[in-house]
Amino acid sequence: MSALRTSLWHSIRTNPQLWIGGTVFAAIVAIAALAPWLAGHDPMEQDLLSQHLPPFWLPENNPSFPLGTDSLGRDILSRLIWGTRPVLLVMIAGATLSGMLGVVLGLVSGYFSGWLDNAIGRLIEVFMSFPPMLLAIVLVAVTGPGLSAVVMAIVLIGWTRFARVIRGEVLVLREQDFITAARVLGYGHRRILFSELLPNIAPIALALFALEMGRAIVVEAVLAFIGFSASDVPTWGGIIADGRSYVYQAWWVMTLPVVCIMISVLALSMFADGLRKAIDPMMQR
Amino acid sequence: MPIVYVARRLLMAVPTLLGVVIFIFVLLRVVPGDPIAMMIPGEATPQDIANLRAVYGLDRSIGEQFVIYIGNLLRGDFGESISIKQNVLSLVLDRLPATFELAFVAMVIAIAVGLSFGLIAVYWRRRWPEYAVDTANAVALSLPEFIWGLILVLSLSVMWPLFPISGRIDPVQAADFKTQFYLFESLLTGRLSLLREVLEYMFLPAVSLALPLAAVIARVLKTSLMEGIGQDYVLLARVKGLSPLRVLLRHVLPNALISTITITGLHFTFLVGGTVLVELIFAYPGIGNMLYGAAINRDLPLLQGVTIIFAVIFILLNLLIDISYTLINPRVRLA
Amino acid sequence: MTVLDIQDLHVAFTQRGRVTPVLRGVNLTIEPGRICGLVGESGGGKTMVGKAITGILPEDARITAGRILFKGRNLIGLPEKERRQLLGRSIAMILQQPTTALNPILRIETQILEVLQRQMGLAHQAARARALELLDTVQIRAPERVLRQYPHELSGGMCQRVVIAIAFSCQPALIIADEPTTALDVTVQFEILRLIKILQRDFGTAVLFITHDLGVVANLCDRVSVIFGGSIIEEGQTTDIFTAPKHPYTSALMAASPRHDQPEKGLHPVPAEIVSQLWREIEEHDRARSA
Repeated sequence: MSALRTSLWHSIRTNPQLWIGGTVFAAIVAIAALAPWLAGHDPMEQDLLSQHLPPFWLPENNPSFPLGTDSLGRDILSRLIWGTRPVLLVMIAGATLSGMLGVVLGLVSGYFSGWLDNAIGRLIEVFMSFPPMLLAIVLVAVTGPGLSAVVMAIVLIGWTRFARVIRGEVLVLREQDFITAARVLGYGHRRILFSELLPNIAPIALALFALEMGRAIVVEAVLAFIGFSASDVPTWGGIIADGRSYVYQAWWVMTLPVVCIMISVLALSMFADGLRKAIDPMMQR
Repeated sequence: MPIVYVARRLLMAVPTLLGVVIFIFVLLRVVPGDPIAMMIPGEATPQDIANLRAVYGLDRSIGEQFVIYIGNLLRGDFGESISIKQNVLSLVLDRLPATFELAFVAMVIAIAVGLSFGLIAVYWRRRWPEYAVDTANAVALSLPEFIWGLILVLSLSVMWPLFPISGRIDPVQAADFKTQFYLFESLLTGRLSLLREVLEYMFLPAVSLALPLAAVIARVLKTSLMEGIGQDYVLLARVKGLSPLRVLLRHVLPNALISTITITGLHFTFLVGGTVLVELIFAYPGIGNMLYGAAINRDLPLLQGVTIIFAVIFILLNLLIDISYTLINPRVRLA
Repeated sequence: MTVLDIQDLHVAFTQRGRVTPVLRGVNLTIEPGRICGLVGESGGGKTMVGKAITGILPEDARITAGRILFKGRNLIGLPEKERRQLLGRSIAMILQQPTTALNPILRIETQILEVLQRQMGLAHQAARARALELLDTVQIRAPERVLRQYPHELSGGMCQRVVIAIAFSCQPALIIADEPTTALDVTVQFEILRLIKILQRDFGTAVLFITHDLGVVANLCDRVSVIFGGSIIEEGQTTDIFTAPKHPYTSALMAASPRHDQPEKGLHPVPAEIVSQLWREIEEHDRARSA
């Protein structure tokens, strides 16, 4: 037991990013899961008598609204807490699907080469000829707003990153002895792809995944900002957009969700960095 | 020979452009959701809907639509905007100068800041300027442009109202301009107070755009410079008794710039992409901003036009970067 | 007065508090106009001696003790500006790899003119004329054309000639040649060595010739110093050292040189006992110093 504790402590000391980032991420997950119990108010409840109330550290605040209220008298704290849900959903679903698509295409493209590689390569080039947010907005404009549209947008703009990196890795791995050995043993392509190559690229894919989650938060925030995300749950981007129109009277409405996004993005980048650091020694073996 | 290379590169861009055009077509037609139905008010009769569909050519088969689409594009006809009843191309071209100026200013800031920070970090290496630059880079790169834009707005427009919160210029003064190139026009006609106004409005969005690029340039330049310093010819330059500044600027920097440009070239295109977000936050009337209006109104022709223009700009920019790298490196130039 | 007088030079790497000595009390003298060889195996510290003289040491290296007297002045502790002036006009260097010794993006003309204009104050035309003269002296045909070219357009031998031209351009009192022929073809080696000898004699320049090739030393140098583990093992006239070496390491070094004219003699690496004895002495020295 003590050996486990010392190695854990060693890991925390040498790779703080992994643990700090990971803890914040876990906290977000916890907040999202426990939202109904953590939030003091119904996030959609309007109280027009309590508009623009400031947060607790400013005068004239109402302690029952610790972070103040917006123009419709809705409790900011509760809205922020409930806002973790769409963020989390989009982050995880978006990064996972985008990762799956990208990894598969990257694997196939790198392994088979030839016309398939060229075709996928062209496809990647075409996708990368657009500013990513542009694609996202166009897609959501055409399909209509909603969380599923946001997830689709993230997949659309994120898969190329995975595909490119994985393809590069596969090109290198393909030449190595263990693949040749597998082929000599008569393994079919499918088996090589899934039993031999996939486990080897999994660590990199994992690090990219964490990075992609961070990017997904921003995409969601932007789409929510222009009103293209979910409308039935509060979103951080939505709160920012709302708060912007009366930022001089109630600056906290715009500022607080920005802080939330900042913390989440930083935490996830740190987590991704930490993952990469942890993977590196593994790859050296 | 460079000319051959340029021509070949141009030719290679054509299939990509074609792919882009096809892709946009597919995206805007074949995706679920009926655009016409989305923009018709509730009381419209089925006949109205059918008429509108015919006007926008959406009643023909996909194949026919595609042919018409390509034909129109080649003729420069991007259609008419559904929400703003004007020719799409002229609408886009009208807004393009604003975005161009913004990107231009951001690029200038990014290059100036990036290069100087990189040089500072190396000239005073192992002392506090180097560490300060490293920290600044890390901070700038930790958050995406969108967040930086929001932070800048909150801190420098709201908390300390140093800069205007949105827009390109006071609407009253907009009438003073003959062209849409506010920055260049005011500069070239010597109207300095107007120039100052324009720059004031442009400052925060340009800085938000420039931040990530400046940090990348500084970081890459620093690494390239450090590599260069270890070279034999730098040692000999120092043995010649030349001042450290001259050695850095005359011997190390030019070589480092070559690798810096190669690596950071790609990031310039990200800057163009960033205008989409930054124009949103600062309500800056460029083509990035136009996208949102078009999106909210489901204005397909306008959406299509803006997207194609962006893609063309991206492709051209990539081309330019590839070509300039070839021209800079004397080894490649003379080969 | 001697051109160069290195007295008890100590150089060490300091990384995070850990001190790794590189040069342990080096003593070396060079008379004006003489060629002095510095031989030893790789890692013996030869290159570091050259670098210490110029004052351009690697990032973590420091001179911890000793004096380097150049024409009587101690280079260590000299103000930056003065050192740079001295460096450009009186001390020059020739390096091992000729192709990386020249800046790839500058024309040959710029690189030769640079030191002529800045250190000697020559005007552009005068400097250019001088550059052509120099290229002629190093036996480069078509000097006009070479001036306009870039380093990658020249062969290794030609690049080295240019480097030599730059080194001799200000008629320095001392040139530090760090393995200048090691990376060249054998035929070119001979020519370059002959060139250095001629120029050195004509200009009266002293040369510190750093190499691991004893054959070159025998041909070129008046005096020889043998370095091992950062200190000078033996020093003396070339003929004396070669005919009657006093230190066992020196004789072992000479025996280890492959004799192409006597292949039947075989290869004899330096015996391990000599090396370990030397290291023992070095360790004692280090311990005594840190005490």
